Amino acid sequence: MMTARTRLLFRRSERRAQALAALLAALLGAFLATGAHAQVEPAASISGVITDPGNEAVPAIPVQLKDTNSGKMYTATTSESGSYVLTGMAPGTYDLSVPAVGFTLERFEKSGLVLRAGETLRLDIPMVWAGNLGTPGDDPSIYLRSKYARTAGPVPRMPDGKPDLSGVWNGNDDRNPQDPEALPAAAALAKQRKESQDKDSPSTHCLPSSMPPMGPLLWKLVQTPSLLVMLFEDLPGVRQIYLDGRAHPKDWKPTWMGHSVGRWEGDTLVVETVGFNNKSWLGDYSHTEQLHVIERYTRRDLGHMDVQVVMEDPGTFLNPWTVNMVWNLAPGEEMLEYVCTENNRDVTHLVGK
Amino acid sequence: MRKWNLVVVFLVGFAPCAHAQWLNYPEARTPRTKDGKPDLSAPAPRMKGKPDLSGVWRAPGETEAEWKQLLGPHGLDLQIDLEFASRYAVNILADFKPGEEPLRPASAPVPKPARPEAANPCLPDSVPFTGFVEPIKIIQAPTELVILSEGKGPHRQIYTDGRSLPADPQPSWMGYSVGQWQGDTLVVETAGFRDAPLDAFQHPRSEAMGITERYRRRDFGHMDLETTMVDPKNYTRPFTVKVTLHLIPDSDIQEYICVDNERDRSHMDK
Repeated sequence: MMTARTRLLFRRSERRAQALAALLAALLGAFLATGAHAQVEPAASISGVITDPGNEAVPAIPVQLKDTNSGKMYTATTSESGSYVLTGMAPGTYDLSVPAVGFTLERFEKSGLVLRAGETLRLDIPMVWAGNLGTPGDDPSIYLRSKYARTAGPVPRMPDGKPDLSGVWNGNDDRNPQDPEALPAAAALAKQRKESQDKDSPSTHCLPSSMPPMGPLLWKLVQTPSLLVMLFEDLPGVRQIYLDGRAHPKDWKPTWMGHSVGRWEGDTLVVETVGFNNKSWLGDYSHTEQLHVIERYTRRDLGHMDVQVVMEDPGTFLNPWTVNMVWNLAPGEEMLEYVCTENNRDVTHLVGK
Repeated sequence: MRKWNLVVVFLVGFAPCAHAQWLNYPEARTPRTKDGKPDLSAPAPRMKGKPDLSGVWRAPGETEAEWKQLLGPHGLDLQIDLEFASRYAVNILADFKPGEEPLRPASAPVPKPARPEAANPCLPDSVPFTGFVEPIKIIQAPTELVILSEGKGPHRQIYTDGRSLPADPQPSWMGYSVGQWQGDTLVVETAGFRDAPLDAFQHPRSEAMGITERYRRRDFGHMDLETTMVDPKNYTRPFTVKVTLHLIPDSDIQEYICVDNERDRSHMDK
C-alpha cells in the first residue's frame, strides 16, 4: 500500500528523472542544432483517398509526385480502398498528378504543394469523369486493372530463353503525355481535328485506328519463335510481327498496318514498321508514307510490360514523337469479336463540330 | 435470278485481284527439293510432338465444268477469280442430289435477304466459308492456334489449352473454338455462332449449330479437312464436307480492309 510519504518520495524521484531527461534532451537538441555534420530533417509524406464522381474509391491507379527543384519523381499506387501514400520526400515544393484512367477519369494535377519536414499532408483527390461520363461497362480498363492488380511472378520465357510476351494486356495511356512538335501544316490540321472533335476520323468509318498500339485498350500477344501475332478489338483485328530475321520487302505497296519486323536487344523486343499508307491518324495527327514506327517491349515481370512507341515522320514531325506506356496483364480475359460495320448506327451521329 | 444476286453479293466482296502484290519470302523452315523448290511431299513439320499446322492454305479450286454444273451455264459470267474457292463456298450441300438434301422444308433458303444490311458486302463470312474461298494463314502456338483470313475476317482463335466450350457463349460470326489432338488429327469444336448463312446460296444456320473440324496435315503441302455441321433446327441430320487444302509455300496473306473506299454497296440490289 502506498502511504502518503511513499507517494511523495515517488513523485520526487519521478520529477528528478523528468528533469534529468529534459536536460539531456536540451543538450542533445543543442548539439544537433549546432552540429557541423549534415543534419537530416524528417521526411515528408502525402496521403489521401482517390474517388470518382460517384464517390467510389479508385483502386490500383498510379499517383505521381515531382520535386519541382530536382525533378525527382515519386510514385505510389492506390490500394483497394483507393488510398495512397507517398513518403520519403525532402521538404520542398512538389507537383502531384494522377494520370487519366482509361476513358473514364480525366487526368488530375495539383502543382505547388508545399511539404514540410516530418509532416504528412492530407490530400484527398476527387477525380472528374472523362469522355465516357462514367458510363458503366463502357471502359474495362479500371475494372481489369483492379481485378488483376495482384498478378505477380517472373517473366515467362520461350524455350530459347527469350522473354515470352504472350498474354492479354490491358493497355494504358502515357502517364506523362507529351505533344509532338509538328510541321506547321500538320499542327494546324491536328488543331482543326481536335476542335471538330475528330469529325471524319478513320475510326468513325470503321477504318483501322490501332497502329501503333496505344491507349487503354486490350492487346493480345501470341508469340511463336518466328512470329509475334498481335490481336486487338478493331479493324483489321490482327497484326503480324516477323521475328525470323527477315528484312522489309523492297517492293512493298503501302498498307494501313505497314510491315513489321522484330529483333531482340537483350530482353527488349524492338519492332520496326515501315510501309504505311497515309490514311490513318496518330491521335489527331496525319502522317505521310514516310512514317517509321519503333516499338520497344520490355516485360518487367509476369504482370507488367513497359511499352515505348516512337513515331518518326519527317513529313509531319520535327522530332520523333515518343509515347511511354505501362501495360498490365489481364490473364483469363479474352478478346471479343469486333465487327464495326455491323449494325453501325453511330456514324450518322458522329458529326463532330 | 434472285439467287444469282446473292452469289454476287457474297463473292464480290472478296479481294485479291490478280494485280495485287504477292508476298514471297523463302522461309528457312520450308523443306526443299534438290533444285531449291519447296518440297510439298516432305513430312509434315512437328511442334512439341504434334504436327505443326502453321502455313498459308487455300482450297483447291474447281474446274470450269464443275462451276458450270454448280452455277448453271452462265456461272462463269460472274468473272470472279474462283481459283481458290471450293464448291462448298457456293453450296455447302453440293454433294447431295437435288431433293435429297438434309434440309428441313421450313428451312429452305430465303430468296431475298431478310435484313437490308444483309447486302452489306463487308460483313464477315463465318465458318467454314472463310476457309473455302480465301487463303487462310494458320499460326500454331503452344496454347492456341490463330487463323487469319485474307478476306473479311475476323480472325479465329482455337484454344488448345484444355478448356471446354463455354456453356452460354455470346453469339458471334466465327464462334468459339476449342481444339484437342486425337493422334495426329486436330479436332476442333466450335459453337456460339450467330445466324450467319453457311454459303453463297444462303443455306441457313441457327445459333444452335455446332461444327466439328478435323485437320490432318498429310504432308508438308497438303491438309485434309473434314467439316461436320450439326443443326437440328435446320437440318435433318449432320452432314460432312471434305476438302484438301493446299499449302501456298514461302508466302503470306495480304492486308484487306473491305470498308476502305467501299463503293459497291450503293450499286447492289437490296
